Amino acid sequence: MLLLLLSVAGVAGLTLLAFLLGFRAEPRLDEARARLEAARLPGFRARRVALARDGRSALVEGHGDALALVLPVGDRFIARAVAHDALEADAEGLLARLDEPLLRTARTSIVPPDWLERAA
Amino acid sequence: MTLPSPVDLAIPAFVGLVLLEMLLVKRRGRGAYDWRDTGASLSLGLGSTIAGVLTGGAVAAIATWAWTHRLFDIPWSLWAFVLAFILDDLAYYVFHRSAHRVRWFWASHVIHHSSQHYNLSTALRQTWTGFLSLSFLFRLPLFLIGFPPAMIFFVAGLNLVYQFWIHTEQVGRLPRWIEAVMNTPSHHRVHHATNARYLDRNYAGVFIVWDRLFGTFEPEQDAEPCRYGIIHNLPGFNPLWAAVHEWVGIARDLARARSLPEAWGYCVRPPGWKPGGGTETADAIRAAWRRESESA
Repeated sequence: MLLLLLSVAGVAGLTLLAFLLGFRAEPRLDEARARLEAARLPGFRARRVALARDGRSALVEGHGDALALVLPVGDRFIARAVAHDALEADAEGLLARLDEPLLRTARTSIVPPDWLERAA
Repeated sequence: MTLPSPVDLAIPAFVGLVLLEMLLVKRRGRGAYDWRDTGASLSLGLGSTIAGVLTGGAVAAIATWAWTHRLFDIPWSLWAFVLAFILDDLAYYVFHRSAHRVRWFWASHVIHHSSQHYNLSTALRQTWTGFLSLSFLFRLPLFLIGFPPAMIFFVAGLNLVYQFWIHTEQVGRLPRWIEAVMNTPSHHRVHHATNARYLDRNYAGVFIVWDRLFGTFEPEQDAEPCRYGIIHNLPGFNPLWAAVHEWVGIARDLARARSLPEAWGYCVRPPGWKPGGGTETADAIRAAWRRESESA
């Protein structure tokens, strides 16, 4: 039990040290980075990009009406394919329904671009 | 014969080297850490140790049972340790290749690839469910040949300790003769990358010669920086989800399988497989990349 407590303290200590050393960046996306992140989805080739107001997420249009949402995770990003009808616009921006166990919805500050309405 | 656990003895060095690497990243600006990612990696390492303690007795019992049916009596000698180390590394190669090519094994191994970072803390991100996925089966032939279980567990520990230091971006390329024979940071960066060129390559533990022999070697290219992680990167840093998400994926796919062959495919075909093939297996992704490269 003592060993377990020491191990937990060690994990917490190193994590805290990483925090104190400043490893807590929250980078912003630009268009090129958003394209690159979306291209991590197999077969996805980016055409147009709509960046969020806060620069932390992006909606990327691919070929054949495909859409990818790029979202922040710590100092990295993830990309998810998203259907047109899983997107909802409100005053804050786009809300995406992703239906993953740990990512049911994603709230973004992306202003719905014109091409999104035309594509839908 | 009782032998020490190389991994237990190396823990202080692991901690010291993680600290040193953090300072180097800060100073050089090369490589990266994120405190949330580091916390997840270290928690997964701790969880893996606990899982190992809980299942270690059963693994030792199975190993001893296999050894009682051995073909040869291998003595406790230096040559036997050297041979055990080499053959255990070959068994690791087979296990590791299977862990990327068979979804059932991947469900346990994915945990180790689930970080988008590549640093020494990533090395500690180890499986919780290795016993469930039957990963111990890959070492059974060594016991059946006649290597004593304690000898194999010892050299397997040395193998794991060796693999720790190669999880870094702080070391570039090493002299050519080392890169030719040994698994190095450069070779292992390729293994952790999701670039189509690099996917499912460099499975080696200690000796990269296995990849060269069996056609799975890919050198790191300066023009193509590694992008680490998995095809569908995790949406957060929850260690429990990192440990079980692929098992949940298998369960969901099994629930919607329309036939037994389909259910079997979801378990034993490569990760990303779907009835009819699918576009998200490593082979399909690499084939699409090759077509694009050739047409460009």
